[in-house]
Amino acid sequence: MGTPLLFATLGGVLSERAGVIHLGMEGIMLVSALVTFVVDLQTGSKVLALVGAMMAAGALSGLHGFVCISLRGNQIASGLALALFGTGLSGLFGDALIGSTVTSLDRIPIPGLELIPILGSAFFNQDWMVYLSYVLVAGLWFVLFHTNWGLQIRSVGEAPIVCDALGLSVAKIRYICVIFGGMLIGLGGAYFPMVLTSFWVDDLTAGRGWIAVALVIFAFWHPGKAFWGAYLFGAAIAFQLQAQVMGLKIPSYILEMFPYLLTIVVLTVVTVRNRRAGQTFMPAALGLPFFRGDKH
Amino acid sequence: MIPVLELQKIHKEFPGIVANDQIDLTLNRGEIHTILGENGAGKSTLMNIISGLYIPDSGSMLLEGKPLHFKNPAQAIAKGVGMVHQHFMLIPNHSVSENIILGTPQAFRLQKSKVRQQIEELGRRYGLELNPDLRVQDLSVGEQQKVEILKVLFRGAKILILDEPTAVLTPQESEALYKILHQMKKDGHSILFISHKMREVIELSDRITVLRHGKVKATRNRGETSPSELARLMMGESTIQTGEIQIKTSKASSDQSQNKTIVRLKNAGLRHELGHCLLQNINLEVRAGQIVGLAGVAGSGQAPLAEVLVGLRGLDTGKYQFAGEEQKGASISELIHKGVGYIPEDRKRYGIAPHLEVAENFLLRNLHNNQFQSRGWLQRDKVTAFGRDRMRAFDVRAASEKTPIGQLSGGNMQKVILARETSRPLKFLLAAQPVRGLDIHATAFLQNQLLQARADGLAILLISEDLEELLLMSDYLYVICQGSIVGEMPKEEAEIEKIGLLMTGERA
Repeated sequence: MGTPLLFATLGGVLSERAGVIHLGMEGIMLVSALVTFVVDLQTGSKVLALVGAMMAAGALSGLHGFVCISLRGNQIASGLALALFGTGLSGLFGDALIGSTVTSLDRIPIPGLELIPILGSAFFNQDWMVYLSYVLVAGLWFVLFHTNWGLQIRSVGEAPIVCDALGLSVAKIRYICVIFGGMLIGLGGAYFPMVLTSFWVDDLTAGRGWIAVALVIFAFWHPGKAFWGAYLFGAAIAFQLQAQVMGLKIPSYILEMFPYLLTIVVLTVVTVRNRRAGQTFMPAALGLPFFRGDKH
Repeated sequence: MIPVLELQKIHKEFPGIVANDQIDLTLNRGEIHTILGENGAGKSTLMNIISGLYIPDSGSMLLEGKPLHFKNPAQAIAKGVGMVHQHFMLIPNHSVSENIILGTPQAFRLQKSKVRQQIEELGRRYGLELNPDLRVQDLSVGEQQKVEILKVLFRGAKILILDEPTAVLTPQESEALYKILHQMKKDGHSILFISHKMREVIELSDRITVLRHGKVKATRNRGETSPSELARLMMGESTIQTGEIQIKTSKASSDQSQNKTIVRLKNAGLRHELGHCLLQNINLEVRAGQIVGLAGVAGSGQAPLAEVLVGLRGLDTGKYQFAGEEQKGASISELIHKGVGYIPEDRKRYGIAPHLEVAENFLLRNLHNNQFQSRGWLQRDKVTAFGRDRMRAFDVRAASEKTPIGQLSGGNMQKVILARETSRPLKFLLAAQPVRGLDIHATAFLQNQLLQARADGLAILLISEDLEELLLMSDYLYVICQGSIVGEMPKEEAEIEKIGLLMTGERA
């Protein structure tokens, strides 16, 4: 349950580290889920389905990038528009898919590691997309904090004016991060038809994109913390579903609220704690379009 | 010997003004060449052309004798031309080393220990020692400037452009910078130095070029000029007599200790919302007819102190008495009503509404004034007439009173603010950095106005980082450091070196 959240959060971290807020995650996840489902249905190839999903997600994010970076538009408005647009689009074309089914990815246990008590089967008896997400956590962490690229990405998110004066192309770096980040978000959407549900339902992602938006903040824009955050929220969602199946005498509406309630509580706690410590982890130029200083 | 840099007939125009008019300039190896000029003389434009930020309309640039055109700063950096900006171009949240290597070619995986070594080596050679792992936000202003210089040296710059580097430094930090510059010069670097401060220009420079209205007025060698000649070149003899720019010296008109105390802080303390201390145990007095100076390095607590005095913030501990009455809590409107005027440090953000007309900006302090309204309707003609009158009285130069104030120069903007604040019954004026960034004319005008207001019995607190200004203007001085008053003295006992030491937290 945590895997789609993890992909989306990583994508959000990358985009926001470069200074572009990505609120459109829900829309991108829905569209890429749709593309995955359709391509899988038509070709039967999981790899092609995934490539299609990433391309669709990359294209939509590129659009977001165009509005935010080239047109210097409002990032919040563009993101919200994208979320609503994606939701509508997946509903429109998804209608014809209701009733069809696709197969799910097989679990591939990792010899040795899967035998670790409790954690072993939870983390190491999974499908290959889960393993890909682990690699991406480590990879993104390494790139952001230990490479020259990462330094440039973080700098663009902190102080684009400084980067510009040093001859870096702010727009190029931001575009790369927004589009590549969008592709990661697309992987999160693709995970639904690939693994979680074998049939199409309307609003397949059920608001996970919005939780991922909050998770980016909760994770302090850090891939490692995104990992734990995604699994915490994944567990909360799993708990809610389990509780409904087990027929606990709690109204299902309240159970469905649970992950979102957790989101609000965690965000509040984290924000208050940060303010006490007098520290902010937010990229300083997050949400601000970059203009070259026009003197005279 | 071929000069390392030669400019030939550089010309650059912006809509409506000629910023650089046929400029010729040479820079030799191992030379400190100062560019002197008033604000708007074209210094910054010229430096931005040399560092690749602007492209000249015509003219040519020769680097070591080879003609060259920079299309962007990256090309200039690649050819060894580096600029240390007046407003630091640093990322506060990143470490010193991250700031230094940003944008330089590096291995894909950062070699952090190798980079650290390189930085430490550069630091040792030029007296720029810094811990590369510290975050820039934890450094003092002087240290941040070292990072800026290291950044340029790390890129292998042979030509360094320093844009008013000492404007933000204490006297001690400035001395350290001069040493660094001399070391760089000895090492074969060439330095273009921009400054307003006559004394340091004369001591430091091998050659001085004076710009005026975008043109080169003269170039003088070391020891062949004097402050008065340079001032004449900068400002032009025809338009001004030297007497006019000298401000009336501030001799105490009478024994001020008899004057009424207007502002009094007793054991004043203020905490930040995150808990740390902003102001601690401050005792301060400003009397009628007195200019009290507050000296301190930027960020020593001047801003919170100003906010308390004008009523933006209430004290956590201690007392604030205004004209004998105790102020409880924060109330700006109450203090405005009682006669507090405020020239804020960040005049563009807190002093004006940039898109409103000049005339409208005059009203911002008296929004409740019935003089300009009739049955709730604004009387436009009265507003315009008032604006025109004030503009004439304060020599504000703008196309008309209907010009948006944001289009005015800094000096004219500041005149509008001063005119607005003093055009109503006032007991106390808080002037934070009133002349920072202004040219000599505007500076003299504003300073004379402040001295006139003082003679008329106004109590003035002058906050400045420029010690010469403070010594010139003040009757009494306080020194603030880390939120505490660390020294106070009447003007007669004040010395620059002593105050400089106090500002940095050392007991003189």
